[in-house]
Formats: sequence, C-alpha cells, structure tokens
Amino acid sequence: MASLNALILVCLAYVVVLFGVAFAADRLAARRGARWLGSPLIYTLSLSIYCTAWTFYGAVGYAARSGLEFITIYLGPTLVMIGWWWGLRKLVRIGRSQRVTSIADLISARYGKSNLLAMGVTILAVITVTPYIALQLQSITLSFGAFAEADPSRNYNDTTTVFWVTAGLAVFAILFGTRNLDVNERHHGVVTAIALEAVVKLVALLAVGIFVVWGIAGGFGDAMARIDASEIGEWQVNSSRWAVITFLSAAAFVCLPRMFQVMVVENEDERHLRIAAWAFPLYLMLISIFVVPIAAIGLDLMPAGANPDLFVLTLPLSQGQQGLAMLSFLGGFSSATSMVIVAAMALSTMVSNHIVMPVWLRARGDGASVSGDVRNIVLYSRRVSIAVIMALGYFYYVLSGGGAALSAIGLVSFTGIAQILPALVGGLYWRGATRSGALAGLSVGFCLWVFTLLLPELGSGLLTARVIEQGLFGLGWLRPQALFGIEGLDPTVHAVMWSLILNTGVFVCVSVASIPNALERLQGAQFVNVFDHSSAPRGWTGSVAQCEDLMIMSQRILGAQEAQAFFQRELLRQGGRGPLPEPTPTFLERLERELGGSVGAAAAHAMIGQIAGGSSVSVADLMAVADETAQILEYSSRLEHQSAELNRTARELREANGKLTEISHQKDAFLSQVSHELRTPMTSIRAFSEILRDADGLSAEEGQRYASIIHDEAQRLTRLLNDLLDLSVLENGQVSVNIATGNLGDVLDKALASALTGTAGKLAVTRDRSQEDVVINSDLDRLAQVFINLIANACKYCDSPDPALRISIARHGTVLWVDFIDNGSGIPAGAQRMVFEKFARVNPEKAGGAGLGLAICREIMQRLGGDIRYVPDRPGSVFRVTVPNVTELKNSGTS
Amino acid sequence: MSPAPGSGASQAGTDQAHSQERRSALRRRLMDISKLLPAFGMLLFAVPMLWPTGEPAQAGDPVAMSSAIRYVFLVWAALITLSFCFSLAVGQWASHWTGKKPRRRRDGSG
Repeated sequence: MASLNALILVCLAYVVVLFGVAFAADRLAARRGARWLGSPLIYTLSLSIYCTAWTFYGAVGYAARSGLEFITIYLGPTLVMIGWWWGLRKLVRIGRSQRVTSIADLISARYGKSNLLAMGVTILAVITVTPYIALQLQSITLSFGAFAEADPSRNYNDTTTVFWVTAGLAVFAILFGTRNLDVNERHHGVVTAIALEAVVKLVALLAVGIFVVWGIAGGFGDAMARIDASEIGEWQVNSSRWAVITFLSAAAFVCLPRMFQVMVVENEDERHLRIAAWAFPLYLMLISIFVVPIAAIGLDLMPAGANPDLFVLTLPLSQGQQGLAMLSFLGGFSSATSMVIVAAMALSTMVSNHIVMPVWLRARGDGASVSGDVRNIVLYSRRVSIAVIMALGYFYYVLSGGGAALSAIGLVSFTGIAQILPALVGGLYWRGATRSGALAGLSVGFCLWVFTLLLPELGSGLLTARVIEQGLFGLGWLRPQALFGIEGLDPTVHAVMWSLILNTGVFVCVSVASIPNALERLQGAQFVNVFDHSSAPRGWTGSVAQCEDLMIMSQRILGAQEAQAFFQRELLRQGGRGPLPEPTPTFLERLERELGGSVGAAAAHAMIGQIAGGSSVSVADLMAVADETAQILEYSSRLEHQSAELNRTARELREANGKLTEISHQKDAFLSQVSHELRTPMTSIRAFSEILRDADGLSAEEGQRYASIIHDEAQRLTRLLNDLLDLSVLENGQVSVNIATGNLGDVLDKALASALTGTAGKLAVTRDRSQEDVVINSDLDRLAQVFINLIANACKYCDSPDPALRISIARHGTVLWVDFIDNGSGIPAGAQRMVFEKFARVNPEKAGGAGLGLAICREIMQRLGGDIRYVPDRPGSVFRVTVPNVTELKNSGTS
Repeated sequence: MSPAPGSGASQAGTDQAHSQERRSALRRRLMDISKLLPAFGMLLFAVPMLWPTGEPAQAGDPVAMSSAIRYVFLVWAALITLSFCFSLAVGQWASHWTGKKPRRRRDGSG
C-alpha cells in the first residue's frame, strides 16, 4: 500500500516540476528564445483547462449515474470549435484588436466601456466560479481521502489538506499569474504549465481506461459486452437534457472566465485556432472515450456504496495498481490545479480591473496621476484578489461541508455563466445591441438563475420548502422549479430555458427600445465589423491597393526623388518588371514604415489604409492622426513660411548681386575701352607734336602734314568725346528731343548727302522714292543721325567689290520699317548680338570709329519710341530701323 | 467577382485576375463548408434525442449503450476529420488569412 506520505511526496515533486516549467517558460519568453511557447499545440493543450477535476473524476460518476449524458459536456465545445471560423475567430480577433483582458472587459468594451456592466459580469463570474473552485478543492481532498483510506497509518485531516492545497495554488497563481502587467496580458509560464498538466491528465485517463478495457475487461468487445450488461447498458438519456446541456456546455465554453483567459487573452496568434479547431475536439474525444467503460466496470467491480466519482482512482487501487493509481491521482490533481490557477487569475484580473481599481481611484479622488504608482497598485490588487478568491473557495468548501451538494455545482455554474451569452453574442453580431439591453438581460438572467437553480440546488437553508412548493409569496406561478405553472421539466432544463429565454428577450426588447450613445455605436461597429476594421493576422494585405495612388501619396510625403528611389528599390526586391512594384503585404508594410518616419505611424497607417482599402480607421487612429497632423501642420507651415521668406531674400540678394557685378563689369569694360580709345589718338598726337617740336629742318610740307595728322587725331578725340557725351546723355535720359513733322524721303536725302560726302560715290544706293513719301512725326535730326550712322557703316564695312546699299521701306500699321540692306557678307552670327554694345567692333582693324555708333543709334531709337535691330539670315547685312509715326515720347518729361 | 463576405478576402493577395477569381470561388465554397459544419454536427448529435429510452410510454427497445457509444464517437471522429480537412483547406486557400503564399499548381492556373 502506498503510504500517504509517498503520495504527498510525489505531489510535492509534481508541484516543483510545475513551478520549474512555469519559471523556465517565463524566462524563455522573456528572452524570446523559444518559438514553441507560442505554438498551436500549447494553445490547444491550454484549452484543456475546460476539463477540470469535475470532468476528470466527475465524468465517470456522471456516466455511472446517467449513462451517456455526460458526453454532452464535451459535445458543446466540439461544436463551438468546429464552427471556429464563424464564432471563435471573431471573438479572438476582437479580443486581440481591442486588447481585451477578460470577458467582463470585452462586454464592457462592447457596450460603450461601461464599468457598471463589467462589474455585473465580474460579480456573476465570482458567484459562479467560486463554488466551482471549491469543487476542485473537494476533488483533491477526496482523492487524498481515497489514498488515506487505503493507508493504515491514517493521520489525515481533510481541512488541513484543503488549506495547504489552497495556499499552494494561490502562491502559484500569484507568482506566475501576476508577474507582469504587459499589454497583452500573456502568461507564458502559466500557459506552459497548464499545457503540461493537460498532457498529464490525458495520459492518466487514457492509461486508466486502457487498463480497465484491456487489463480488466479483456478487450474492446468484452468491454462493450460488459457495458451493455451493466446498469447503464441502455440508452436512458432525457432528450431535453441532452439538447440543453449540449447547448449549455457550448455557451459555458465561450463564457467561462478561465476559458476566455486561455482562448482569447493568452492567444498568441489567431491562426492557432486553425489547429485547435480539430485538435481540441480530438483531445475531448480521447479524454471521454474510456469514461463509460470505466464507469460500467467500476459499477460492476466496486462495492455497492463506493463513490462512482472516484472510480478513476479507486478502480486501479482496488486492483493493486499503485503506480497507475498514482498517475490517476496526478491527473486529477492536474485538472484541479490548472483550473483553479487559471480561474483565479482570470477572476482576479476582472475583480481588480473592474471593482478594486475603480473604487480605489474614486476613493483617491485625484485620479491616477503617477503611472508607475498605478501599475504597482494594479499588481498588488490582483495578488490580493487571487488570495481572496482562493479564500472564498476554501471557505465555501469548508462551510458547505464538502458533501454531495458540491457535485451539483458544475451545471449550476455553467447555467450561471451562460447568462453572459446573449450579451456576448448580441454584441458580436448585432449592432443594435445596447448597454441598457445587456444590463437588463443580464440582470433578469442572473435573478432567474439564482431563483430557479442556485437557491433550490444549493441553498437548502435559504429557500424554504414552502417557497419551492407554493411559489414566492405564495404565488403558484412563481414556483422556482415550475415558473408560470409549467411543471414536469427537469430543473436544469427548466432553469436554463427560462433564464436564457427571458434574458435574451429582455436584452432584445430593451436594446430595441433604448438609444445607444456615441461610444456604444462606435464600439458596436468596431465589434460587429471587426474583420473590416482590423488587419489580417499578418499586417497589410490588399489587392485593391492602387500602386499609382500609393506612389502619388508617397511622392507628396517623401519627396519625388526619394519616393521614386524607394519604389525602384522595392521593384528590384520583388524582381518584377512593371513600372511599379506590386502592392504586396510586405511592400505595404515597408511603405508604411517609410511613411511613418515622415508623418508618424498612425497617420501612415491611416493613409495606407485609405488607399489599400479594407481597413477603415479606428477612433484611436483618428485621434492619433489628428494630433500628429496638427503638430505636423503647425510645424510645416512655420517651416514653409520661413523657407519662403528665406527664398525671397536670397533671390533679391542674388539679383542685386548680379546687377552689381554686371554694372561693375560694364564699368570696368567701359573704362578700359575708353582709355584705349583715347590713348590711340593721344599717342599719335604726342608723337607728331614731339616731331614738330624737336626735329630740325622739317620742311613746310612735312610740318603741314604732321600738323594735319595732329588735327585729325584731335578731331577724332573730339568726336569720340562727343559720342561718349552723347551716349551718356542718351543713357541718362537727359536728351532733349525736338519733335517735328517731316517727310521720310527728305530725312533720307539729308542723311545720304551727309554720309556720302567724301566717299567719292563708292557706295551705290538704291531707293524707292514712292515708298519714302511718308510723313513722320519725330526728332528728324536724331533720326537722320541714325540713318547717317547706318549708311556710313555700310560704306566702311561692306566688303563687296561693288558695294551697294538698298533702302527699303515697309509700313506696318503705325510703324515704319526702314531696312538698310547692303550686299556684303553680313555680320558673323557670333557677333550679331554684340554689334549694338558700346565699343563693339566686328573688324577692329578696319574700324575707324570708336564703336559707339550703333550703341548711340539704339539709344536714340529707343528714345524716339522705335527700335533698331539686326535682321539675321539674309544675304548681306540688314539693319532694320523701326520708326513710329506716332510722336509721343516715352520720356517726354525730360524734354 | 467580389470575394465572399466575411471571409476577410477583401484584403486578398495580388495575383493574376483569373487565379484570383478561382481562389475567390474556392474561398466562397470554404465559407459555405465552415457554416455547414457545425450545423451538420448539431443535427447528427441531435439524432440520439429520437432514440427510445425504454420508458413505458415509448415504443421499441431501448438502444444498447454500446451502439450509442459507437454512434456518438463515429460522428465525433467524422466531425474532427472534416474539421481537420477544413483547417487544411483554410491553410491552403485562405492565404490572406494564414499569411502563406498560395501553393502554385503545376498547370500554372492556381
């Protein structure tokens, strides 16, 4: 016989292993070392906390009492799991996108973050789960008791065992369940430990089952025959209970706080559901496959008074299989501890978040001013909550006496927690569901559950027999187990039916009748349309993304060149050929990061969301965008302003500088030209005057010649100075213009006579006198000066052997074109631009003048409101003088 | 051709139009299966409610426990198998959801 001490030792060793596993997993997760910690397998196994000690030991007892009905407890979750794509996936997606920490948090978030609702759900959860925790403690105690009975040296006390077990579990839950307060609320240590426990309980139950079927019954066929021959050999299931309990277990599977904790809160990746969808039903099937054989053979072999709840343990013990019994004990211990730990964790989160913290913050009055402060308080309140919940479970167990009353608690608890279902499902699929509706439905459901199930089943002292038989206040239709006078229903079916029907009815009616506030409507849309709002498990996906739109947007944000370079890089990375990269998820993510660097993450997300489609913007997104945009706008408008100002100043400075440089160059060039022009005649004047002064015996003729050279040069100097003076006067606008009316032909006659004097008729001039009979209104002398200059130039520079000049006149509206066309080779293209500049000479060696003639002409013509220009691409050189025959002068003020 | 509503396929990957269409059709079929599967399971698990229980009011002999066990576990195993197939199909075809690239067919059509 195994001593109780050996059992305790094994138990302690197992607990140490659990602590070790949880500790190691936490360490690994902190270093992000092991990927298997977040694997679908761990996820699936962690779901198995659905199978508590109630199912480990209780299922066999249940089967021994009611045949196959126990299996409904597993069929409900199976149906939920295989419908995962339509149910759980949405729940998990919402849980993750809303960063939900518990079922109360989810309900509260859906209905406009109402804390009242959260508080209600929390209280409901505490009331339903605490007895359930007591049930686990009872199962551990019972299993200890079973060993103790077999142990001759029995110094065993139920209450002390329960106390130490409770304390140990509380320590475990506090140590690994409240280590951190991270955003995602994941507890790798706990999850890994319960995954290990899941394996232990499955292996234990399978081992006992295999022993019973093949070890005791002698094979599968024999086992079946013995089942058929046993007390439970016939189908005796109440069909209404079959349907209702299946539904109830499905509802509880989703609503139980501990299930929500592992299924939604601890979920690493929503894709794990894909594996869990078949692996978890498989787990359930395996764990229940040997239940009926164990029950039937236990009924057969065990003495009449034996507790069928402990067949899993007592059957191997009675067969002398100590090792197997020990394994079975560990399996039961695992089921109980994992449930208690997770339930305590989940409840403590709810209690601390929705009851303790709001009360504490309100009591402090000044709100949470220091964040570190609050973090510590939250952790502390969670730890205290765990301790309190465990204590509640302990006292519940002690006070209820640990009797048979507890075994009924499983379904009562399920029914209680299922009251959340209408609000939960309505919240996920119906946008019209409101906070008032949820609150009313929940309250009605809760009251009916207490009245029709909890009190009649458990509180034998709280509800008198009179009430049960005659109804509340003596009203017959208010009998707890026959509401509205409908009798004959199974109490559980009755309670489930009425509480859920009225709960749902009130929920729907009040929702329809009430008007949700803005936050509720918003959250409703977020929840119901979560697949439109949140991104797929991995970042952006999108075929609708228009790459060109993305390109345009990126160019605006990043700048054209940077954006093009980025798109080019991405195109290369994708190895595509098109002009733009494909909008693959990776590309969109990279682009978002790139844009995020410029405009902030939220804005980038929202922008890509707008273009890539599929993802609309959440309120938080919008708020963040608004903040960021406001900052950016302010900053960028300031920058823009400054940069525009700088640009303007720089441009002005550049212009001014350019002008100054130009003027300085002009001045330098002018001075050097003038000096040069002055020096040449001065040199010859000095040289010849020196000859005249110093040379003796100079003949009169020579003297005459030298003197005339000096005279000529002096004249040239005078002319030059005159020209300079003239130009300067013209340029400064100080010219006096004498407007007179005259005939163009006369002006030309005068000019030709003047210009051709002394050229001995070398230049043949062709004129069309009929055209020249035009009356012009201008400064005729100045005009003549221009013509003289042009004719003289033709004389000087025309390189034809028979130089000829044709003067043609054309009238265009109010202006006259007077063209001076010679038959020379014209001005080289490179020099054409230069000819009107001062001192510009095409052939310096041939030049007799100072190169100021054309410059003066241009100045004069501009003064007269006309123009002079060189007409390129003609045979010979063509100068066109535009003479206006209107006489107003631009600058008449100076005249 | 628009993707099946609720499949999340509005954010599908980017491939050729016709393979898109093909995948969209497959996805639509998957969504139908996913809806039918739990309903199918519910119906099958409801069948035992019709079995006679041996109460005097009911006709016929009660169903033997061994047959009941066989029926329930066979249905259960069948549902698990179907769920497994559906999960494989989701892995293969709902690439936008699983984040994997769709497997290319030899004929180049997929």
